[in-house]
Amino acid sequence: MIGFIKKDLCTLKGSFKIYAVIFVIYIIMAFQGEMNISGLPTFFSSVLILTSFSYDSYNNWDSYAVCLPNGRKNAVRAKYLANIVLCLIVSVILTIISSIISYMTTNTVVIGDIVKPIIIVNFVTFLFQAIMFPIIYKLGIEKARVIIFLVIMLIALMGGAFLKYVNFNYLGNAYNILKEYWLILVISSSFIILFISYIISQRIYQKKEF
Amino acid sequence: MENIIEVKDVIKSYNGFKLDINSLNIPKGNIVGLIGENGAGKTTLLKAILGIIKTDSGNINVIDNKDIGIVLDDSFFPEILQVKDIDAIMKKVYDNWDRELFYNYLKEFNLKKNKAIKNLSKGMKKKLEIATALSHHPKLLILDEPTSGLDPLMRSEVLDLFLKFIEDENNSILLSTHITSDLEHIADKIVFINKGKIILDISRDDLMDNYGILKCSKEDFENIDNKDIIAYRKNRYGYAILIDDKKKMEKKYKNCIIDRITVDDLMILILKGEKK
Repeated sequence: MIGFIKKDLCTLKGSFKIYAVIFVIYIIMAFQGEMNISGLPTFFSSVLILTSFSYDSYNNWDSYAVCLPNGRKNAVRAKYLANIVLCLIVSVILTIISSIISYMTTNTVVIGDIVKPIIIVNFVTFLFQAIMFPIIYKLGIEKARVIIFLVIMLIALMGGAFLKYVNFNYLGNAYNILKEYWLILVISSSFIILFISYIISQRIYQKKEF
Repeated sequence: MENIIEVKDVIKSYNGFKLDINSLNIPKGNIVGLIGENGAGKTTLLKAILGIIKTDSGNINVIDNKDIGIVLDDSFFPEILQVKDIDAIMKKVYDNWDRELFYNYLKEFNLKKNKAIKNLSKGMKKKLEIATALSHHPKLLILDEPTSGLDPLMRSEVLDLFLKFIEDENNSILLSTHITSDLEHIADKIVFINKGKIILDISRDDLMDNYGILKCSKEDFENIDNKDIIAYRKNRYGYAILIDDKKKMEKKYKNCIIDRITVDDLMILILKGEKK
């Protein structure tokens, strides 16, 4: 499986340079207080993983990958792990940079305030990717792009309606528990959702022909 | 003789095409060549053996894929990769990946390790795929058009590599090719597929020793027994007839010339020839 992750990282090597430039521009804007950079993990990991799917599709990589030892299992597993690794790397870099920015602008660093939005963003990223990956495995990257866009729009609309029309006061004590443990819930639920998505993707990929 | 691949009663239907293989055995230590026109089912059969596609029914027994070296019809490495990346990836994929052997092949094939795959010619990509297929000490090579895009000199070198590979009697090769002259040099057995079915499964020695092209005039053609003709074609000089018992025909039809058969002749006469 390490070989498959390595393949994805080698494939994205060229893209890293371009995104490093974008990253630096975002950081400079953040230093000037013009940009909230918490969304960077979503942007980078999602774009990079979609790029790796595109390269795979363009070069018929999957038809070769499934012939390699444990190929069918490892190809999917590596994609999910490469994605988590990318998210974590960007998140760690972001935490360090945000801490520096905070120290330079306010002379204080409150790690909790820096990390919490990054965790929320990672949760959103994982949720987005949990939906995206099985669709890509089922339909292929080209057809999946349109479907993914529609699904994300639908989720955003439903989420917006939920927040607008649900009165959280009715939740009573449950709301207080949610408030208390939201961070643990967010982290654990994001991994559970991603794991369910992984199981679905594996099932699709095991049956897929190339 | 022990078989390294056994295919039995395999059926696979899709897009109006049906692969229907009753029986195919690839003996250990042999080079087996798959021939047939475009769309005959060669690639589908190889994909079924490799598990790239699932069969509707039947059984395929093949050794573990860690011992199989693969070259597919289309290029399959992401083109953004550099040649040296293949080594970095494959040493984590195959337990017995031989880095030194891989770099020796690169040197032999004149492939630069820092070159991006997208900048390689079709032939150079093929060489990289062959080097990769051979560098983990496989016991079986499954190769779909391995010599397409290679110049005659390199083709000859690659065929020599295959012959060297087969010197170890535990090793075997199953390859499909349109360059049928390659098979005349290296194959032990030739399997002819047409419309998804095997129509001929023959050893090269049997083909070369017994099959031939009987050439005759129109008058002589009229006197030839129907049962002696597998297929025939009329040309501007007379008739070319596919026969399967050269020695007997030489005695029987003394006015006719019998030429050595090539795999191309065999394909053309079986596919385009007529029955009397």
